[in-house]
Amino acid sequence: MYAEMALDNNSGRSTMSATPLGSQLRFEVLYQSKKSRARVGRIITAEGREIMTPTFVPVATCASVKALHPQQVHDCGTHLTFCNTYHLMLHPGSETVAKAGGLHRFMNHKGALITDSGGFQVFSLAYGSVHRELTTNGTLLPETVSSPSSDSGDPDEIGNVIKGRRQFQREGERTSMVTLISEDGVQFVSYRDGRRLKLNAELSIEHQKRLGADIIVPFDELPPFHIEQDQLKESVSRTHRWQLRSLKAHLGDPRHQALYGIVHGGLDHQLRSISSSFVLSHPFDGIALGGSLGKTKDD
Amino acid sequence: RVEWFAEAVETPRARCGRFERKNLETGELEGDLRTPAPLLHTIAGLPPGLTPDLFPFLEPSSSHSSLSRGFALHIPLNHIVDHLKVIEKLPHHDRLKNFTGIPKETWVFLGTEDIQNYSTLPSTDQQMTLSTYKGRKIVTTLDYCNAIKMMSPDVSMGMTGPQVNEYSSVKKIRTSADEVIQYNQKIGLEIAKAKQGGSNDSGSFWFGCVNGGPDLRQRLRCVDSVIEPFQGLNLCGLNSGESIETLREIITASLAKTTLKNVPVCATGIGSPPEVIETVRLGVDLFISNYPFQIASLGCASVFQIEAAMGDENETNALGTQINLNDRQFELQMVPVLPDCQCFCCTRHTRAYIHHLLNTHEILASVLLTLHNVYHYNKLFE
Repeated sequence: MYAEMALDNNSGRSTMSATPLGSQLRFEVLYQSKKSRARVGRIITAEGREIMTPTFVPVATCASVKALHPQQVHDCGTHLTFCNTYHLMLHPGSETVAKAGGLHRFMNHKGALITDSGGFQVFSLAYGSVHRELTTNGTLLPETVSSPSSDSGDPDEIGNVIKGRRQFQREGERTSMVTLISEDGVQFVSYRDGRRLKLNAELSIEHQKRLGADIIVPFDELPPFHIEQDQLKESVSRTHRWQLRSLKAHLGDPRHQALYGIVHGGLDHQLRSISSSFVLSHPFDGIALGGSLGKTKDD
Repeated sequence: RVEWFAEAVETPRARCGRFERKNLETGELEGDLRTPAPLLHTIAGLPPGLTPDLFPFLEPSSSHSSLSRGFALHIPLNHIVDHLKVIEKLPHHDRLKNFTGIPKETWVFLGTEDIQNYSTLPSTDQQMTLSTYKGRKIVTTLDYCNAIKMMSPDVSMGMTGPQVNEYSSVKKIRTSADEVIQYNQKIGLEIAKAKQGGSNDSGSFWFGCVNGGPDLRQRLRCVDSVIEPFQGLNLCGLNSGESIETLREIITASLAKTTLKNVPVCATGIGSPPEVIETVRLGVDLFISNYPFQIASLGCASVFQIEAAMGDENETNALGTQINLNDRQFELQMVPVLPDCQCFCCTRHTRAYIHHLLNTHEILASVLLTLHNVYHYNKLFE
């Protein structure tokens, strides 16, 4: 199984033209602790924005840190602010932000910005809240169709799924707004106006390009905390395939953005190790730790 | 020590004035406030959605001069009356400003009228009941005077009693007038007593109240009770739905009847620009108002060009011009809320962004709209 995954990586890599690692970001370690692996560092983005590390990154979900103006956010000592691609996709839409000249112009935010792929919100739509996920052992919300191998779903089936939702709502349990998870990506319904939307590696990168943050991330699958070992392997494998597709889409049009690779594998050391190798062997500009990091501090 | 002077009086009654705050010991001028001016409604000391670091952005001709020009905030007593014991523990000078974080140069007017949550709770001629966040609190005239003395706001607006309007019974209206007359008398005695005691800690500048709803006769009785040592006239409860003619009649008659000469006049409940212009012409100097916040909470911004609107034939409509940024038409408008406006919001953000913030229910929407509306409102007064 592991050999297969390594092969997957290799086949992915060989079709890609590699650019030097870290070309969109400059990172320097200013001080390395002798007692631990902690270090003070500085990142300079391609557009010249400085991020001192370690740093707390506040979330500006819908292009606004709650109640604070960008100047106030900066005055609090913030170097990097996080925006949710998922919410911005739904409103105002990445096209509108692009028309405004990108997120920095839209928000009038001078500091560095990072966007996520949209994956987290979409997958939590399927599994419900973290609480629900933990207490129901990771069952999908009703009416979510998860297809491991087939490609895009049958439109009629999806139509039935949406009609079926009303019935479930009367029974009191929240139904999933995700209608399909497949190898291609995810299909879901907008909570704002019920529109059917699709999100996959290429679309996620396209949205993030329009938003124009300094740092972007590839589309990954987020398995729930309670998951069988073989399902986890399958998930990590799929995530790697999605990340390669994201990388390819990104390298076709870098636009001075840095793409971080995401290390997955849940709590499994071996999978984590494989995932790290995967990220390190591809021209990502940085490393992100994704997926479940466990329940306890020791985990 | 605070004083008020009239300047540039225009017939018949409209005038510009100026509050001055002088250091008690040195006599040095510490700050001034030009009138006509709005007394901006606050929630326990701060305007809804704003923090003190944003205050410099609320004044059009911001302090480039050495003398800090302030703007005025109105704090309703019921927001802070539960915390008097805590406020008492703060260092002696400017306790209220220290507690709320309001900067020194901003003027604080303290009163019993909460214009967003009018009290109709029981009262007698010695006390009124305030509706607070913890429940109810009874405040006697003595309690009120002591609280003022302890907190030392710049100006005290007096005790108004519960609100009455045209739907209140005749008896209730008469009672409200009776009670306010009693409050004025009792508070007047307290102020005189404190002045006799030698100290000037009687709570700075005092307004006497006039109530009585829409009943002119009752209101005039109240006006008679506002005599020295009161230094101002507070015409309360003028937003109970009376017509503009009734309003004119009430204000004109009240100002004609008063025996106090050369004192500032405050009107509560009048806030929209057309009403403000109308009543300034009648001789009113101060307005306890939450107009900018009310329209901001609906997603609206004032966008009339001030000089043009005031010279306009159809002044009332011109002065009311607003845009509702919830509207879809603003989705792609990458222009400021009001072009040429120099406020914090218009120099940094676009209509499209605010439209987006409103649609995603972000708090920043109301913060930015408030910043614009208050700036614009202050500019109108200027």
